[in-house]
Amino acid sequence: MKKFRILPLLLISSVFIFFVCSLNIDSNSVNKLDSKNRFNPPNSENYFGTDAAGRDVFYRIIDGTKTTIKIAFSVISIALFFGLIVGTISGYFSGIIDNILMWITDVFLSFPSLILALAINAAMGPGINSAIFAVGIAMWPSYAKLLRTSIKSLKNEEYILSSKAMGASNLRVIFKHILPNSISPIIVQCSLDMGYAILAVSGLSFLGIGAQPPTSEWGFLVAEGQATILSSWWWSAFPGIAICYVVISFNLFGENIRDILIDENNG
Amino acid sequence: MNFIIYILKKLTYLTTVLIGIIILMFIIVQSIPGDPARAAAGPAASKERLIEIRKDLGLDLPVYIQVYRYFGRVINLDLGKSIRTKKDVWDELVLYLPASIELVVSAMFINIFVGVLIGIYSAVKPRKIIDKLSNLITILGMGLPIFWVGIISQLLFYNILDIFPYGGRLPAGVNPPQHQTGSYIIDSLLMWDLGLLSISLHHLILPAFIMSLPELAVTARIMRNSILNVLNKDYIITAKAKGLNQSRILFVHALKNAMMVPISLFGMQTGWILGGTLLVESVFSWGGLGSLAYNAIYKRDFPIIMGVTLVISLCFVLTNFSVEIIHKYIDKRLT
Repeated sequence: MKKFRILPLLLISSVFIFFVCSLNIDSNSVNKLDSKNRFNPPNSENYFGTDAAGRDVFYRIIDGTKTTIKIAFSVISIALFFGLIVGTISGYFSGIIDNILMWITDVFLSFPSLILALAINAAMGPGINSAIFAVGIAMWPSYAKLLRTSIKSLKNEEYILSSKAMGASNLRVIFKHILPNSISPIIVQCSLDMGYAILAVSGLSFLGIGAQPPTSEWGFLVAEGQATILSSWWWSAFPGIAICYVVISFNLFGENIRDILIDENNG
Repeated sequence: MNFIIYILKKLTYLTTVLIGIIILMFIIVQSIPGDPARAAAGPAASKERLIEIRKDLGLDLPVYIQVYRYFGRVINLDLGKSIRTKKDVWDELVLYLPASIELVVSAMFINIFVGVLIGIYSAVKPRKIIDKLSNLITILGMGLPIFWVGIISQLLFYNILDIFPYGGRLPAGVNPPQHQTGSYIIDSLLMWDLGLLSISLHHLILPAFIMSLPELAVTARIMRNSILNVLNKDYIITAKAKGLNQSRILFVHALKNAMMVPISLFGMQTGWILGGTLLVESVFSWGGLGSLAYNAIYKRDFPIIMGVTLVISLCFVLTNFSVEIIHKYIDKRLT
């Protein structure tokens, strides 16, 4: 039986601590303009320096943690919602419904996910919520496929057949027996996808259609500092490191969860 | 014969997926807020004029006929006119596409070549420094936002070390080679202008390498595990027992089989790299589809954004299709 490893646990709890801190920070005071302290390099007062409007980059990054966590969980929830519906229906009912749903899934999969998200985001108008929705929509097909495969393999297990023989309704079989038993690959996929969700949304924010000013979203902060990168590197550099840190934390934690759950299932 | 039937089956499915792509694009275009008739007529137009334009544009027809007409337009490469430049969207796409293909193909080349080499090396010497390093790069590579890596590498390689240019495809004041394919590398080779070739390559290396970075790590990992897997197979042990030397076993016997897993990965990777062009091109002002889309975002130039989406997804679908066919072909020869 594998256990939680110490490094991923440490990383993910530090992200959680930053998140709690960000909840206690007032976004308005972080974004207050201070014309006297423009472009301060990192020093003992402004750990990560200040930007063109004199705002402290360190506090803006901390403030951005809540947006980042919101992105990770909302994107996955949206992807999971559509993935669960399509995957369950198409796995449980075979035949024409299955074929049509899988065709729709394949159509979505034939777009590179960032490109599809860009098109949806652009059509819905700029904003962090439409960016989250767009990335979620671009990500559901993998959940649908995953669930469909695991349901197809469960469907002919004896306990499912006997519960059907006892007259259980389709919905009861799905919710009572099938979903609980196919949940662990889904959990693994969710935890591995969180990092990608953050990267994709911050990419959209970087392009200017995700988070809008004055949100302290990290991809957006990188974009803001891009123009002055050669003179004041700290403005772009630190938000990027923050993205990296959180995404790697989620990735390592996800891999850890995968090792644990897969180990458990096999033995 | 089976192989031809396989291709035909795949082609049929490919066609249905392409139909699906166009329908999905239609749905996305429909969900753009605002009235297209109003946009075409201008804010001062009268009610009668609006109804007239709506009729001209076919907006009063039932949805399925609109979808059908949309199909016709896409097949005739009529993607509308750019709101920003007033030029035909398809002409714009054709103008910008070669630059993107040049970048994506170079990134894929680096990904395959370097990734496979690192993979082989770490399989032959597992748990040595390169192996550990590639493990670290995998973790980093999947967590790095490439737009940020682009910006930081501009800072590092242009500003501090001064070994790579800041961005663009050519320095200011240098004329691009005569337009034949649109790829500066190929065009300057065709003209046999080696000076221009080296300048274009110099501009290409950094963005291409950065685009390949997240995938490179994955390729190396998968290649390594695939080789280690094959090296434990009976036929390799037999070859060893026969006394064949190490490198012959590795390159002739093991590699052929070990390549199967990464090959099936390359199709998916092209998709991720195509998505990455959006970000990397806007950082390096690369003048390809990504830059085109980036500029269109600010002007809310939807025809261009939709055109870029369509072309990139077409490239992705076709690459995936070819990779599947190649995979099947090699598989058939092996078995």
